[in-house]
Amino acid sequence: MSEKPIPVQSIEFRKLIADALNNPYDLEFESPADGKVSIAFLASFANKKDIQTNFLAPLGRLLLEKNNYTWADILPLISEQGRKIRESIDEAVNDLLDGHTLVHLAGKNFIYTFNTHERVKREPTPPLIERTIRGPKISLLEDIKENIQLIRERIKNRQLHIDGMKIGARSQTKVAVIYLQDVANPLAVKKAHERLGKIKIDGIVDSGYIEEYISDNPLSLFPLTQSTERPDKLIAAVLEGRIVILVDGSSNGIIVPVTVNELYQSSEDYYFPFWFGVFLRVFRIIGNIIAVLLPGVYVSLFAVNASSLPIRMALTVSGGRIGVALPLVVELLFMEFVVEIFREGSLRLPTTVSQTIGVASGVILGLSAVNAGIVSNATLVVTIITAIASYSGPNYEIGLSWRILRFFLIFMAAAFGFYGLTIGGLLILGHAAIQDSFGISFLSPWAPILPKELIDTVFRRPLWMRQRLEIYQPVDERRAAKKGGKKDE
Amino acid sequence: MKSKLFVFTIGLLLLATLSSGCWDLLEVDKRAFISTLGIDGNEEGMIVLSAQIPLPHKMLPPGATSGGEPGKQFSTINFSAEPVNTALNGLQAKTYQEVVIEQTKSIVINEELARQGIAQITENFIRNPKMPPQAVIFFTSNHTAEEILSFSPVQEILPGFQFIQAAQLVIKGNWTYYTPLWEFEQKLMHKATDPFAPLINLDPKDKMFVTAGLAVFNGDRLAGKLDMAETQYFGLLAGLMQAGSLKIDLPGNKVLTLRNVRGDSKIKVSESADGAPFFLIKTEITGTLNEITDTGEELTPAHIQKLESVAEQVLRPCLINVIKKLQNFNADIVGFGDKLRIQHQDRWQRMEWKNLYPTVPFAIQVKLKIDKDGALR
Amino acid sequence: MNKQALSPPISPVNIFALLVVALLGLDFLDLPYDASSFCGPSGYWTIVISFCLMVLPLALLAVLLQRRFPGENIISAAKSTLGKPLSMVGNLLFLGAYLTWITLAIRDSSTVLINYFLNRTPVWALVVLLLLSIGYIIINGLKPVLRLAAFICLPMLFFRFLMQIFALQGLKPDLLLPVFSASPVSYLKGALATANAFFPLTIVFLIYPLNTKPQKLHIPVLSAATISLLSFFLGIIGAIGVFGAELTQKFNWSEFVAVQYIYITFLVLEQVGLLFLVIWTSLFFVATAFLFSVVAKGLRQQLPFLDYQWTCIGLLLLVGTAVLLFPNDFISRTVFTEYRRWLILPVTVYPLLVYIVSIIRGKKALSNEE
Repeated sequence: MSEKPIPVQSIEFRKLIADALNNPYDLEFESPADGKVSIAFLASFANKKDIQTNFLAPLGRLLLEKNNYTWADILPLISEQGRKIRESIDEAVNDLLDGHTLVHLAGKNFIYTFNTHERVKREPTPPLIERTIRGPKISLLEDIKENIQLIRERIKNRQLHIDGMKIGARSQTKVAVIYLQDVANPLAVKKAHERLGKIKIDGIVDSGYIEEYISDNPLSLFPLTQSTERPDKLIAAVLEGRIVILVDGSSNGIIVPVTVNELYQSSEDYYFPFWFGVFLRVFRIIGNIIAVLLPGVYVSLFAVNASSLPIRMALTVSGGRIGVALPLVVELLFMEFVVEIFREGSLRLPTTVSQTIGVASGVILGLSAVNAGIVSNATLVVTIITAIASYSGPNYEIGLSWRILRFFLIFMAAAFGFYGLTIGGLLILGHAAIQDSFGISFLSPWAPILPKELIDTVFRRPLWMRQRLEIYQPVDERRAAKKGGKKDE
Repeated sequence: MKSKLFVFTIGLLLLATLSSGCWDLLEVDKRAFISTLGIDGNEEGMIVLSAQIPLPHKMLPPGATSGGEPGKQFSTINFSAEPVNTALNGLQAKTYQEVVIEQTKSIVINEELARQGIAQITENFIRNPKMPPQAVIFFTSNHTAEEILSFSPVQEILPGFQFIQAAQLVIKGNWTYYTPLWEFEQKLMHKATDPFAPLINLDPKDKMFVTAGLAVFNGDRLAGKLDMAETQYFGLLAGLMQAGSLKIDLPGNKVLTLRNVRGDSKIKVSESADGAPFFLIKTEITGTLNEITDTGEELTPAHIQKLESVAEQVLRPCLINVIKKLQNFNADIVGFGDKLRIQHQDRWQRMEWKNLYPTVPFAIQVKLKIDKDGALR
Repeated sequence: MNKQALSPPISPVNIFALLVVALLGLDFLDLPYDASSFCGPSGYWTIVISFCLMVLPLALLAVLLQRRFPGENIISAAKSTLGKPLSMVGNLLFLGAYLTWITLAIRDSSTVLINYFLNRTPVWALVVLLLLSIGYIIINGLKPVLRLAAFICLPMLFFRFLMQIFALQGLKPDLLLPVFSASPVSYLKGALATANAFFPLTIVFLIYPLNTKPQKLHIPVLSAATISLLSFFLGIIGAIGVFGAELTQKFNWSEFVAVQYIYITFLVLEQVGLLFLVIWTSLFFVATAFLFSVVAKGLRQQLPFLDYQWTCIGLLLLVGTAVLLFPNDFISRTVFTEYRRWLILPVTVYPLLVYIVSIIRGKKALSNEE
């Protein structure tokens, strides 16, 4: 687009605006009374009723009363807040695309614009994936301003910085970087800004795009940024000294940096009393370990290193496999593939039939497969436990990582038994050990060992003991009062 | 960039290694697990190795009320060859699955074969890394090992497994003392002690196994047997009895029985006048009163003390007889030689223990303590 | 390769983790054999004596060398003390000792794995798997090795001690008596033979410049050695106390059999050997990766024209070939038993030599290179 000045004639003004946007369907022009005043807006964005009531109607009355009117007469009808003066077509079109309404007075080479943007709104709903028993039942929305509002409601502090930028050459998506100036590590903040600034893309559709760009290693099997749909998680992260990135149009926020520990912490660990939080955390970790290891252990015990099996179990499974057509490893892989297909399919099933098909496929198909001799009972049990256990972690992405790595471990177990499983596990650990998230080891505080932080891994620190984690190198470490004391402000 | 290339190459090579063959992949239903091994000798001097193999398709799955087949739930196969491992390989010819030794629970050896010496057999088994070292060894007295393996007792489905379960139960240490393979071998190698192992027999009338009594060894040769009562006394001497029961016949046709009996001995070695070692054994036995021929009296501490000293007088000759019997067998299973080795190391190194043991002098003191009295006064 | 990944700063806690993993991972499972073959039933004293003879002086030497050559490890200290030609020979011998140990250890571990767990898998498959996996870790520098060691250190330590305590299930105290069953000369010989258990401790001469708290070097070194001593001691007691000195000497891998025989009802598994395998494999893997990484770094330091990543690849190929050269287990076992007892010499005598020569010549450290 060229830096053309605003033309003084109404007709030319309208033509230039329409040409700049290639005559879109939703571009509307209004011209009350004598046609000297032209108003342009995108009907898909604008609140037409609002424009009609608050601007067009009074304008019409004004034009009827006065014959020689100037900007001085029209301006009182436009609220001062958000009112801008524009002198080029470029700026005018940009404002239009941002949801503004343009007002042009014939004979002048400038226009005024004001904001009449009405977004498609959605009522806040409970989180879809990160559900908790206790805690706020609200998830993020698509409007970045509303998400920022959710954060501002809870952190009423001057040091809360919200740095905005627009990313995406064509989408001009608004992105906000939120942190506490006196807490967050300045180097991490600088890194976040640098990486966001380097993004060169035509359009951002979801926060996932941003995650891939700013991640230290996008090809890693582990998530090196944390995404969440819960505002309370974002708030907790900001208070800890981490950085939150919100993307307009996405109902997921990004938190950086992240360690493997954070991916296993759920907000409700801190809402429940101390021992309950510990209990929940321990079972979460055990659940995910089962999800990744159980098929490999099953293969290595029942197909390679059978000497360690309790003999009755060996004989029972052996008896159960009589008549089964497939070898054990193939059977297991077949069932794992079927479960993965079901998982994907169930996401897209219409809700009216999902329950019926769920029961039919899950229960009846499983039983029929056993009776038909395609799989054995033991394999079915292992597959189902694995499938459910993989959802025990609060973070969806780490669950996905384990779903992929499970297959690798099955191959290692089939080839080299328990030894192969161990080496496979060490390779996975090694892969995690190589990863960094914004300069911090992904395996912190386990590796390298930070003794003071280890308590907050399997256990969680009681709230009165809370200190900001040394891992994130915050400026201010103290959060609550000293041990045993009352809260000080 | 270089790292990525290395990683890619490494990944490719790893994949190639993995896909070249799962050499040890053998599913559990393709394995014929041996639950018990039986070893006999035949006239040609070869080993007859029998193996008891459970049949999964005949077993009733847990929780099922139907399925499974009537009849024995295991099969017995055998092969003759010399030595034991050749016979083991020979068993492969007799099944369609791969015969595996890794779940062997017990080994039954024929008494006659044992008398000729079994060092070679046990060493062969221990050398095989797949053989579980905790398999228990039995010796048969009136039957061949193959007969023992083929027998299906009325209450037990898979006898091989029941034996090792029994070995874990403390209460069983009253009729016999179980010896796992590793312990048998350890005693064989350790020149200061001799091994022993339980005896196993069939009772066709009750259709049961009877595991009672001990087979005692002189080196690797079976030297003799102890019956049930003698085994109990041996247990008291060696400190092996932990929850046994004891019946003591008191003078005047009275009977005293104790339960929860524990016994242990302290053996002190000193030098006698002629320079030979002299063993002083102090045996302490503790038990709970189970049954006493009714005297109508309340059991006061004085009464109990009197009972104890009378019982000690009765027990002492029984223990002496057992030690003498073991000396006759030249089977040092109580551990005299070990005590000598510990307490007089220099003498041990100069001595030929096997020549000395049958005639070595000893004295025994018995101390009985009845510490609890059950539900009645 | 960026400097941070190749030479990361290591806090004392993490040095402790690295040393513990190295010591326990390369604990060649033949310790009860060495102990009982020289001293019979009371062989457990040999490891205690070798701790006093070896570890304490080693820790002192490391502290002294660090003070004399701050910021320099043995490679650069030798260069500045012995001169370039002599130090080249010495350093290569020093690093070569580690490579020899790794070669022998990998071969022995493969033999033991094939015997007990994977009967039909060929040696080359196990060796290739191990070396490729190690390659993936070490190609990114010392940092991932450090993190891996820190991660597995505590859980593996816990489970290893648990296993060793359970292995005392069948202990007969009489088999460990008399308490002093051998002559002082035998104990000394036994101590020298078992001293090879502390061989990995000498790695500290290569990595102490990375310590973030140099004044506290002795703490992680001594604590790692003490914890390892406890584990070695328990291992020897477990083997001799259960199997007796005679049977212990017959086993290829008595520490494993000492775990294999135990029966724990609630554990569900028939044999606990697999858990021991997991613990031992993890420790061995990380310890070997650590050794490889440090040796490659040292080689690069000695020969600056080498590139770290290519050096790693080269070393892996070299060791892999050497491992597969052994035609059978008997030769590899004999070589391993004999030579591992002597390998302790170059790695202890060389730093001592460097220190003594530096005192005689009065040379101090030149400017820091690292």
